[in-house]
Amino acid sequence: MALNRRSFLTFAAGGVAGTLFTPVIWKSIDDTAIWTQNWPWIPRLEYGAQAYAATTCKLCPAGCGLNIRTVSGRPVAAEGRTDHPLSQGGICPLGSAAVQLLYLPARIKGPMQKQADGTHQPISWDEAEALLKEKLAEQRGKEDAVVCVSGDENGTINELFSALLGGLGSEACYQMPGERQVASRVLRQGSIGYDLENADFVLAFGPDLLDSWGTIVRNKKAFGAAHPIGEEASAKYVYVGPMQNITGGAADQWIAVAPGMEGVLALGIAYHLLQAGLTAPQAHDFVSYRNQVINRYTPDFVERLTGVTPDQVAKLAEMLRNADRPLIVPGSSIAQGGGVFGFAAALSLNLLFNNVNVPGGIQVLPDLPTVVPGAQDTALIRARDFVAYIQSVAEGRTEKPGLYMVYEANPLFALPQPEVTALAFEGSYLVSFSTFYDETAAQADLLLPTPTFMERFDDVQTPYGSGFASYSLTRPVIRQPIFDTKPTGEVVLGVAKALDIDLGFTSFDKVLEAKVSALAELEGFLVESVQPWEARTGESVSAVSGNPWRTISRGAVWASIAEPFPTEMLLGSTIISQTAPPDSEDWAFPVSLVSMDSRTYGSRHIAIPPFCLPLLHEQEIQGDVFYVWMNSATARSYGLQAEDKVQLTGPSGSCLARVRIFEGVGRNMVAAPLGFGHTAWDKFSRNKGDNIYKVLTVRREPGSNLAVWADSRVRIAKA
Amino acid sequence: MEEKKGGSSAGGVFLPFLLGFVAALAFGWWGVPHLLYSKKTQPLLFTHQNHIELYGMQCEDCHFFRRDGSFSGLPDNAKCAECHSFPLGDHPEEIRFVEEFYEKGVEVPWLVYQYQPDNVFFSHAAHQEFDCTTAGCHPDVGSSNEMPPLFQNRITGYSRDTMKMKTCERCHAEVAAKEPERFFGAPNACQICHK
Repeated sequence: MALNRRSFLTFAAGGVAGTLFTPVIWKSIDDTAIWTQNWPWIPRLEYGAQAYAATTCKLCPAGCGLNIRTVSGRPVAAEGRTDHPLSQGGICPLGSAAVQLLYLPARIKGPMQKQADGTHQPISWDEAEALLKEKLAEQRGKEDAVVCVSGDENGTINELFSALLGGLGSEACYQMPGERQVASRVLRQGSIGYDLENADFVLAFGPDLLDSWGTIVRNKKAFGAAHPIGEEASAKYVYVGPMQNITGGAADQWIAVAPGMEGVLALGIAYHLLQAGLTAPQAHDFVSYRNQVINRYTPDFVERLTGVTPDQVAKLAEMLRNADRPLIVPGSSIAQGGGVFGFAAALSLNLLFNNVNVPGGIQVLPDLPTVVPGAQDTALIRARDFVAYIQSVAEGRTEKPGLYMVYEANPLFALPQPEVTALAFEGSYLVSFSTFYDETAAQADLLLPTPTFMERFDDVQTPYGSGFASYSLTRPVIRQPIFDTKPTGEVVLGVAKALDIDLGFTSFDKVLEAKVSALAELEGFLVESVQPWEARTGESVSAVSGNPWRTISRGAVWASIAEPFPTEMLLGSTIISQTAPPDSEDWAFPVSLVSMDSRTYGSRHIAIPPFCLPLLHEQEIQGDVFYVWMNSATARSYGLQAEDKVQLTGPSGSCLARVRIFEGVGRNMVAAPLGFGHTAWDKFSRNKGDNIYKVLTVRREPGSNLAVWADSRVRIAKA
Repeated sequence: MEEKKGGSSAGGVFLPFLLGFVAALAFGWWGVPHLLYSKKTQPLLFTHQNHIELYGMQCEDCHFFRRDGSFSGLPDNAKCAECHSFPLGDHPEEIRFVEEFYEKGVEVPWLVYQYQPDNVFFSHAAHQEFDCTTAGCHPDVGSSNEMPPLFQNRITGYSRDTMKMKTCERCHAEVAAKEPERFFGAPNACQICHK
């Protein structure tokens, strides 16, 4: 057989025919199809034993319980916890993103130092802590040369910071602003609680109960329980506020009042209640309160300032009087930046109903005992006005400190007029303990990242808004921290030791153990089958027994409903007469700016996580431009239509947005969401919309001298 | 000329065709599988025989159902360490397990012969009544003294023993046809396995 063209072709034909009797063709097609479905970047499931770890959320101050679902010890999802009184199985959008935050690209991977060129370079923990010690030692002995600002309003970590500062000769321990600060101007010791569960009429003067104020998930649960599907509501909710936010939309009635004017309406209602003969004999300033309200807050005056007709005001007063257990909740619609006037005015209505420390009323809640020797009084710290301090430093009225320590806070983004904060921070050494590369961390000289709350021990003391005092712990639900992070409590204790400042403890776990032991000073119980609000109406609970640390560190919640001390309540006539509502007329900035806050947009120190981005609808953000909301009448009067680009300009800054027409915003107001416009973080959270904090403007409230910004004003123009 | 041409074409066509045919068969049935699959051995020596025959262990001691009904599959270090947290004998492989895996907290990367991709939902609990050793899903390694090598497909990355869909379907169809009332829930609808 000669090898020629013909024999080659027949050989090839034989080969082809033979191949048809092998699986080669079918197998290769099948394998290729499978290959195209298994690209290396497609994540693979990892199987293993499932478990749940009960813990407490630290992503915002609400203190909800979280159940972290783990597979082979690896957290995969955050779920609600039915056994936690502050969330009762519920979870908010930010809480459900908790596990994703563990792996966020914006996490700081280890300690870093800022270089001359402005970049951050990794250093070791030993170097970082030595550097912190050196910088603190430089400022030692100088008065208030070290400033600490904490965004964690419920944590025992604040005691460590204030004790460390005390050892260095500084008292400048601050908290990021919130409702607590305003409340502390009304009640010096302890905090104010609101027993929503037992109220049958809830009148909210400003606070966005269901989306951003206080114990959000608990508020929602209380609202939900009072509004069973297909049945008559067992409690009526009325929202007085600038817009139909989640609370305004869900409430049984919404009354549109410009931000800052809620207090005027409250006193307008008080006028009717006093006319009807209600008294508050237990308050010794009743007579002066009565005179002020009757003389000044007449129906006509109230209508002129708020736009609410005398009929409506009278009807609201009547509804309140007809309720068995009315509860009036004061606050700001963004849970920050409100004035004392509005707060005290709304709160005073509770006193007219003798609604203090009774089921369904306001409650005086104790501050939990401090355990760190040398720590400042909690009440003292939360009454301090950080915004006023920053303004004073920026304006040169207060000497610039040598060093700022920032913990779980993002003041360069989330304080009104962030450029003022930048000015105040300029030239001082900035230390950030942030878990994430936020705007403040991006400017910091030293980064000492703390692990997320799922990787460390920490605690939550009574969150603001809760109707009862409570204590719960967070604990590591993961075997090893994901990155080279170190709990800030340990860093503070370590640096204090290096500086020969005795904080009385060797580890942060021991501080928390001492805190749990100190709870025995108060009359409390562990929440099991009886909820604290049920205990308030007479259900019996058993005292704490066994090893409380063991139980609480595994997720149990300690609660107390005992009245901590006899409180003499005043109607606040002095505060009300000295402070004043904001001016209702401003020709330069004619439109009221209604900021909106929501856990969908993250929290004060967490940018919107990628997990929540799909929740933003097309009328919240498109591309990198976000929306501001206004009603059609307001839009028309400024020649605007839906989708038009608009410039919002305040006295100190401006931002660009598109117009969304939404009739649930009051007349002559523009609503804008907080939490957009991040410039640091990662590609998921960055460059989305603009930062409304730039447009919020701080003013000093006459009388209280408190920095307020919830009632900022702007002018709007087509861009 | 013509005859020669014709005569040469009869034998000259058949032989090359046959050669090509046979070569293709050999390539397809022997050559390709050898080229397509890489041979991998388990990271540690493990003998099922010893554990069962010498120490009287049951399959379920290591391959058990968890309380939530999910199947544990291959035991993890913690399970092995119930006995082998320190070397019980002097076998180098046992010492290697303790020193290189258990003490360092590194899970043994056991190879799985029947790896199914993530788009397949398979519940061992639903198939409990079939005998693992005879149902044909697994190679029966229960009495082996040495784990067989794993042949991994170089294109797909799957094990050669990964069950193909048609095998699942055949059993579902045959068993379900035998006792339709009992196996009402095991039809061949897509969503039964692809959730």
